[in-house]
Amino acid sequence: MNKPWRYWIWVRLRLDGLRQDRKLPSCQVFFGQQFPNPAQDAVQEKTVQRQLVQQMRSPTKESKLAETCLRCAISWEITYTCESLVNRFGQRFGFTTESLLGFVLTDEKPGRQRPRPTETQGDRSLADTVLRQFDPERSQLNTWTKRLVLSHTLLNQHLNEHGLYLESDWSLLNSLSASRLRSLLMQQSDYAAVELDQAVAVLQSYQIIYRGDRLRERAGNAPNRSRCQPPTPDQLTRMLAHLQDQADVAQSTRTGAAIDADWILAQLRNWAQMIRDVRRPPTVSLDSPEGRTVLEQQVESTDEDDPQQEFLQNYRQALQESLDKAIAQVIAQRVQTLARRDPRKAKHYLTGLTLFFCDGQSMGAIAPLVGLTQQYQVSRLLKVRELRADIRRQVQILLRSRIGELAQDYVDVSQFDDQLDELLDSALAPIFAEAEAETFAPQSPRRSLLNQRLCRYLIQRSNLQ
Amino acid sequence: MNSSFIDTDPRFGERSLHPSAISLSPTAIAWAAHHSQTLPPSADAWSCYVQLLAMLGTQSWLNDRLLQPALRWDMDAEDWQSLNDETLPTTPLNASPVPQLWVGQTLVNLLPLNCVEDGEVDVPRSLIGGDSAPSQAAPHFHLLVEVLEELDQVQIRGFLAHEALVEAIATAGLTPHNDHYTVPTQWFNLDPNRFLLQVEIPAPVLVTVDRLTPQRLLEAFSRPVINAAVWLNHELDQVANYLSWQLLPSFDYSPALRSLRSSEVKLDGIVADLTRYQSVTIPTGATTSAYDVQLDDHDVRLYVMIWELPTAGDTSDWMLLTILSSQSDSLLPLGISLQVYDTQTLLAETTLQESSNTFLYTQIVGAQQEAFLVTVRSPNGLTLTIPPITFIP
Repeated sequence: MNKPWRYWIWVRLRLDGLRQDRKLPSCQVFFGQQFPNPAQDAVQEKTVQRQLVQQMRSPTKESKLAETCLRCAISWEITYTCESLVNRFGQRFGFTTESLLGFVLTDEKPGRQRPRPTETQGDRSLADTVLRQFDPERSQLNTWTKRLVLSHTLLNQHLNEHGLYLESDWSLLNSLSASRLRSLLMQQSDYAAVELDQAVAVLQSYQIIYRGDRLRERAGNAPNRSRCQPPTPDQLTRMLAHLQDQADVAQSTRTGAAIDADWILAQLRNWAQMIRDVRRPPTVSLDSPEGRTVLEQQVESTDEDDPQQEFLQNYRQALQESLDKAIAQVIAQRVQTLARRDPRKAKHYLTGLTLFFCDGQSMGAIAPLVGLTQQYQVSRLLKVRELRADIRRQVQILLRSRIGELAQDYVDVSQFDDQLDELLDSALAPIFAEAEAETFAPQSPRRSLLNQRLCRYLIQRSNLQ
Repeated sequence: MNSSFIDTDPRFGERSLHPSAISLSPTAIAWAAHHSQTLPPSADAWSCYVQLLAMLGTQSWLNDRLLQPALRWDMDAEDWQSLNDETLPTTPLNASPVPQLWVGQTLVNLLPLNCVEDGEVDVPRSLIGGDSAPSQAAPHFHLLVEVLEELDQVQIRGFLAHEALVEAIATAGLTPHNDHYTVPTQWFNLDPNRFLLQVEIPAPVLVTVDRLTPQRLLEAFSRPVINAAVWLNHELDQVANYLSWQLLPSFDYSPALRSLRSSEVKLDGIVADLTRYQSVTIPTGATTSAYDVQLDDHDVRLYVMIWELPTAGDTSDWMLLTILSSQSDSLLPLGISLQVYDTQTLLAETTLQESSNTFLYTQIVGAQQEAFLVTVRSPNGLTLTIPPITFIP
């Protein structure tokens, strides 16, 4: 067994929010007595956990120490899980280890005298829950802890606010179709037809019970919006009963054992993970740092001979007029919609836009000036990309009504009408791409046509008030 | 930090939340959950629930993003034609609703799914045709709508034109399974902004730089038509309305009863001319609509006048009288011309050759349901084609 010190070093958060690792000598001594040679390969993690749990749950003088050792190991697993999330997603979505730990590393000092958590009393911390539920015969402490961390409601809400969504097993299973389950299983390994039928029957029993209950719950207009929870024992019993009613479905496992609730649960979790394994990574958003290089490759060159450039030079007047009009229309509509819901938000919206387009401030810098704390919240408020898209579309609509002028320069285009939109599109593309690329470099002067006209409009508008 | 944790550990299957995702209210969700449970037991309540969430989210999204949303769900029950928090329908459903809505003239079909990155989406077999009921209008577009039920959110992720979907299914040789085709989400354009572009700029009016070729003629006739028979009910049909045509009051000989709108005053002058000098007889009961448009820097106006012609047979014929004039006091340019086609050929053509003429006109008689195409050609050769006009009482 490696890293035996996990059982006597306690990871905690200090009052100032920083992580601290504290050695607990009594635990170290106790552990050394119980497991004199932990480095030996022969000493399995499972054995250690089984023994500690046994000792914890027995009314002996060792029970407190055994419990404290386990709590130390749990604190390590919690920290490890959070660090891996940050390693993987922290930079892209903008959250830190400490912010995550704040939700889940909430165990008070182990070893203090207090009642052991029971189901009726309610758990004070995630560690309490682990200790109450954990069965060393059925799983590993780290697996169990990790699962609880990753399904923690507040932690997930925090991730959601930063734009990251880790879908729960149960949500995944709610939308899994029978045919997809079959094809996923067949890709995984050889399944006999009988096993596939059985799998489909299990899925259907799950969906009938779980989704049915969820619909009833959601129809009740409860404000509670938690993640999908694991099936309750009652639900599992009902699923089992439903499955057993299917006469033409095999009622034993691959190994010949009788199907029980645990087996159903294990199948379901496996399938959820299977869905995750084959899922493609999310497509890159152009608002993210990675999107920057993609965009830069797409910005068209300014070639003097390019007919689209010629069009721009000739019709800059028409274009600018349409652009100004489109900007005014789109922003006015946005402000109106926001003001209906919350006049203060409408004001913040205009302020935010001005800071972004005129001063070149980053989303993070804008946040406190519009009553927000996170960059992601500002992105949601301003929706810059959508704003640009809507302005662009409106410009195209306005320009389209001047088709006569455009046509004269393109008399050799035979299928003019179908290509009109493409033509306008590629004429507008450089303008909007340029504007977008500009906004990726914060604090850079806003020189692109679109950003200039946007800024002009916003200033004029604020001067009128 | 032990990096092997990431390599060997099972994947997270993470998803991105787009800033433009729509959040659904508790009221809306409760309504959707409740309604889906009122379906007959044989129906799939959960999939109905997901569909309703998709519909709610899509309407909200379109209302936010389109400047002039003209949305109507393709449902018979009136209270189902608009879905928002203030007006949630109460009419019970017998089956899962077909999630299709009209955005102006464009029919959009929703394809709800959990996650685009899972790679596939189900398309109902009945939409792809072959053995489908021909009376059902085919949608113009399919919209990929992610329903994040766990988060009470909806994200519109992409779209695909119906013809492209049908063609791709045929090319890939896909076979349906249990009433649906399972198609790759990769086929879809994953930029929803482009979809908005398509629906906000419909192109019922064509502009070409040449005369209509037989192929363009066919294409032009396949576009949405103006049913002028609707005008006899003192209202504009959907297409003319969408293009902002002006329905003029019924033709009446007494000028005192008419307003001083310039279009009507101008028409009076033209009609007087037609009656006096061209021997054209216009009965009372003739109905006129006017369409103002700019062609090649010229502001022109088309008056389209129609009336019924009784016949010896079961159905009456109809007269299509088309008048081309300028909008204001300016003159029509010399060399401008007016054409009327049927599905096969050019039926009539007239060109302005003398400056003393202030308008052009053509008269065509058609049988019921017959459609005609009116085009205006500028002196430079630019041809404007308005939607086909038909008469179906």
